Amino acid sequence: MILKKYLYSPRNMFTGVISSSLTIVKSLIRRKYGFEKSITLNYPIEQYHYSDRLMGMPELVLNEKGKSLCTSCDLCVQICPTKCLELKGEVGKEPKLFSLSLSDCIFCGHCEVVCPDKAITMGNNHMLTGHKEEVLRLDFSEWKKLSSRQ
Amino acid sequence: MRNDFILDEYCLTTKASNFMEWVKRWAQSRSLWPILVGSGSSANEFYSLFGSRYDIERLGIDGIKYSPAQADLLVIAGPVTKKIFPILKNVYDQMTEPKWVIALGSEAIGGGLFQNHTLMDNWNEFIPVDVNIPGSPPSPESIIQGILFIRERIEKNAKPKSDIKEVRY
Amino acid sequence: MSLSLLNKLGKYLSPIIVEEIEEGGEIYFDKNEISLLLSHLKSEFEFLVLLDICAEDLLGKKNAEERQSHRYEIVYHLLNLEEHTRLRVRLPTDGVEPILSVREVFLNGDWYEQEIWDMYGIKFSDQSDLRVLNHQSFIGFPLRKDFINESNGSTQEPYDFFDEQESVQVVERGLRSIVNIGPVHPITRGSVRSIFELDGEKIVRNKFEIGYTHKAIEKIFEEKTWTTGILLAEQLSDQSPFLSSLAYVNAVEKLYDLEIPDRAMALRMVFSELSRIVDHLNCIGELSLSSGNETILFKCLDLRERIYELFEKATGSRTKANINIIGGLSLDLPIGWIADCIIHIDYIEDNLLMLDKLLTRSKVWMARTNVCKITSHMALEYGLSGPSLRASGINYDLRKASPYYFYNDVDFEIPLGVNGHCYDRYLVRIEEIRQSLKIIVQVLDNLPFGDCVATHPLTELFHAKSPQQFSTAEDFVKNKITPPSKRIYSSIEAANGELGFYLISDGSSKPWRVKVRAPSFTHIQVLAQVLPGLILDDALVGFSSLNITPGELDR
Repeated sequence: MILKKYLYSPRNMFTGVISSSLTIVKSLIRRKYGFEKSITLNYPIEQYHYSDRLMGMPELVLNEKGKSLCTSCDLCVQICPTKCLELKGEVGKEPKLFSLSLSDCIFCGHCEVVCPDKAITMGNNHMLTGHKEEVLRLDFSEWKKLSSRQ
Repeated sequence: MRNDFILDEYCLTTKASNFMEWVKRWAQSRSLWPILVGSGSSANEFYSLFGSRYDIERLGIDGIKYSPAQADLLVIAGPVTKKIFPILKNVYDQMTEPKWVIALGSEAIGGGLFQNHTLMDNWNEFIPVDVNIPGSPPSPESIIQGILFIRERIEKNAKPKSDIKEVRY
Repeated sequence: MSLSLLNKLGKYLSPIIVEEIEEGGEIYFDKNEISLLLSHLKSEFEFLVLLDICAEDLLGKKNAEERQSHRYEIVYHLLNLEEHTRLRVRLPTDGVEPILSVREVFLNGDWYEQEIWDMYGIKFSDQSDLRVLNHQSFIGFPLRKDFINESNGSTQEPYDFFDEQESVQVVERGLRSIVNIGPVHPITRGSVRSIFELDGEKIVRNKFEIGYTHKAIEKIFEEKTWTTGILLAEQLSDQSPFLSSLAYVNAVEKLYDLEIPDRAMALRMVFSELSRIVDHLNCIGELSLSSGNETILFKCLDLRERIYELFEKATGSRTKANINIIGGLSLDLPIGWIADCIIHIDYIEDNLLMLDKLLTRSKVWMARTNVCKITSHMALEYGLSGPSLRASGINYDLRKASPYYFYNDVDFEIPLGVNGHCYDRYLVRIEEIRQSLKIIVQVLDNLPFGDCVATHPLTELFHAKSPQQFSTAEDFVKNKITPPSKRIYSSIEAANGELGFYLISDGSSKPWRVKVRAPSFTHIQVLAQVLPGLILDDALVGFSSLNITPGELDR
């Protein structure tokens, strides 16, 4: 469709001023006397609840005794595109060394798709800011501590 | 990130000695002017902080300035390549003291997916970083948390201790 | 390709055979008169647009055909607008002798040939030694198969372009100065350095230097498997990553010859139209920022947030779309998403009316944006596509010309501009947002039932019913199901133009060559002819109306 001809002719100044000011006055009245609340989210005081599908930090799934379900099959290490996971252990038992590097992880979710024991999931923790003195590589015990807390 | 991280154990902090010093630090931390170098999805999330939803003007940040002599907060978003590194160093040298640096996004901190001949992986030795924000892209709430961490560093006047080595990953 | 065109081409080109492939035709041409052939194809058979020039290194490739005894091969992609067909011309070469250049026949061939010199080291006739994407003191050619990464220095001064030119007529009166508008600027979005030579306030000559965010994505594609390539294809655009990953997944599904179910096609249409709205809103916001009007930018940021909320509830991430997999979508819609979507669409439509009343037909806005005229002849010579082509009056949209998914059954229109100014590009984009909202409502009314993922050995991990076994997961990691050895080109209508992928596979689990046909790399070449004669402020308005994205430009 070719755009209509009246869109190319400028309107004169008087109509323009009245039309623009009416639009702005209408939205001001709607805000003050209507039922629209302010849309600003006052961050440190209010929080926004993301859905369950949010791609946060990867977390380990623990059973009732506090042990992880991982059996050292090494598949998540092979598929990770940036090689941020490191694993050492015998197949079938709990790993001795399993660490995650937060400076390399791109939060893609491939490790969750591939794990056959469902031992690693993408959690809901998206607040990962840190000072420069904080260490960004989590070893096994620290990772288990952060996984249980929501 | 971890609730048990206390800043005083890791760097030298000093309390304000008199009232005028306290007023100076308070005013500096409540009116930062940022300058942004780089592009990518993390820079896109930084622009969306200026909308009406995460109104960052209530924290004192008016708008992005594009002139280095008027800015005091440098935000690096996106991977640092060998071609843009001379320009980044130029911008950092022209900023006036005091100045602070934020590394935004996983690609700025560690390079992300792009580990090849174009990446400059030791840019951290030339430009010291104050706050790291991982995420791809980071959520806007964590960027606001990063600005609040910079406020804490300014109020306590945090300086590095000489005997602690910087651990980067 | 239609039968009459095939017969005519076969008669003209005998004894060379024209093979018929899915998108059109393919010619294997091994003589040295390539520019003569292309100019005949342009004038007599109406292949008016040169889409792309690509090169390929054949060192060590398995399943090679018998007629190859050379190392490189160069491919030219041509397009015929009237019959909607494409043609591929393949030219073998050794890389030693310079090849005849086609930049006099098609004006946009200059930058494509310069990039092939930068990446492979193949020389064309009358070409300078400047590098396009790598830095100027780089040693080596990165995309060759035997490239070793030596230490290439990084502290070098930015290169100065106007010193080496022959002396153009220097102006007699007035002041001549050179102004550098660098990569750290709100309008160039962090990636383009533009150098203007001014006479007072008017522009005499201008040059662009790109490559400040070049990450060599095409080299990384060759080191990772076909499924990890989806993460790389998302990096091509920062405003609409769903459309970029959709272009890649569409091409790979054609390579594997896979059919996806109806519900996946409909949902992909809904998400891609939402992504297109985000990109157009961002472009309108930046256009008004460059002319000094900040109110519109804040309103556009507010509308963008609503769509980010919808994406986050469905896929899990606000901007990146990690829901595309080879074979469909990995997750279905949550309960209550459609009702939320309709509430937000109503809000966007109301506020779009408000934007319209403030900007369209107002004297100040029209006076500010009636600059940078691109005629339709110039648009075809330089190979534009997308909203910039339709604002100059040419009616070509891939959703209507060669429709994919269900675009045949949905009722929508394509707006066409008249003059080719920045004002027309703004009008075309606002009208396209309205048509996208219309498409979304029609698709959501008639959403088909069923599965979201096809049943194929590649997608066994994503079905909820199959038990998780170690062997299926290992097949997924090593990508044991490999595609046939084929070459394919497929493209979709992205927000900025035609985004295409040219894939070459040799039967293994990693791609052999992936080439991205990016619209921004083509659009920036028009500015060399349009900008001289304008004043500096108008040039910046014209630059921001073409929507140059740094991810596509530098790859």
